[in-house]
Amino acid sequence: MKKGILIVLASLLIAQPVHAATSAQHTSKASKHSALALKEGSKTTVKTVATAVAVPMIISGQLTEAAGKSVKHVGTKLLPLKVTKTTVTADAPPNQAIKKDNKGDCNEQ
Amino acid sequence: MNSKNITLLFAMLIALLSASTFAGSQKQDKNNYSADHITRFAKQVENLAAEQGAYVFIIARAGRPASDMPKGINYTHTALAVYSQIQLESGEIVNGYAIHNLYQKADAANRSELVIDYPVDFFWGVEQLEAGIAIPTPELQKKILALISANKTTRLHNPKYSVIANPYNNKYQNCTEYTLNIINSAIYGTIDMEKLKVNTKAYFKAQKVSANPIKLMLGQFFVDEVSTSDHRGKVQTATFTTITQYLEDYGLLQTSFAIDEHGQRITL
Repeated sequence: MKKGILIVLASLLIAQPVHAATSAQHTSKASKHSALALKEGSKTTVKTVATAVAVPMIISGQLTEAAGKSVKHVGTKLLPLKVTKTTVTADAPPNQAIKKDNKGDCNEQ
Repeated sequence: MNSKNITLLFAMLIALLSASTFAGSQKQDKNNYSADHITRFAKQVENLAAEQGAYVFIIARAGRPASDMPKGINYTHTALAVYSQIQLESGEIVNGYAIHNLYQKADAANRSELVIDYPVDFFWGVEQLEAGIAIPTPELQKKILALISANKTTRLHNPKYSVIANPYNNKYQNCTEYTLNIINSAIYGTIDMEKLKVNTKAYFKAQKVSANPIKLMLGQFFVDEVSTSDHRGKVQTATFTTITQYLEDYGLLQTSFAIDEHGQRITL
């Protein structure tokens, strides 16, 4: 009896979430890529990025630069920007990634 | 109570704590939203930020229904979205937002890593599709971008992860504290963590975490991603909302808004 009460009390104490600011990746990459792959041929294009090549645009004085190259005047106020219509995703799906020649991997001799 | 009963009770506690109390580190097995819906939503978020001319902005995802969140906490993950030239596998270069995240490691709940992903990755698998957007002033954006471009942000990362990390010291860190570190580093022009924490303590108002103290105590013993040893007194942590308020208080916020699951802009 006592044991039952203790268990119920303990459960009540910890039943609500403490904090939800978790930054866990809520993704199952394999299922994500399978789902996105189904979109091939639909109106939205999904493409994978190459590794580590997202270069931030830099606001430098009156100019906006990318990789050191001036591309656009911004003046004192920021103007609307253009973003690609392509949906970009971080990794290739496992069935494509496995075929890659992974030169430069940390364990490569 | 005999030792068998104590063991049973602790087993129940561990199971309950792991399964629900600090839930969030678990992978989501099923999506509440279709791939089409998430893809469309992610692009709407990008377009709304781009319309504002945001080169860098603070991005948050709700992740869970509001009813599942502790009082005062509206978003489960926060990061920086950076307008970038993105090279695709095909060689094509496109403009869009790359998201600079601190993510909890999948195989070690008390450790984190820095990961760059993209809006569709960021919103994938969430239970509640809602985004928080806070766009700093152009002056602050410029300083954040300079920091990122100089690869100095890695110096602001502490891989010891706690979901309720205290932003006033550097003992543990979560995604929001890392984001705040970058913002403060840009503002104060330093990567000296001691200086950053002194200024954080002086000017930043963290969110008090309303949780049962016994639950927190049990959590730190049984759940890897929870630690209270970096706190004295009331547990406090950084959130998207408190960072937005901080920027607003000091005139460093251009605008902030939320985007609901239908892609509609909501005033915060």
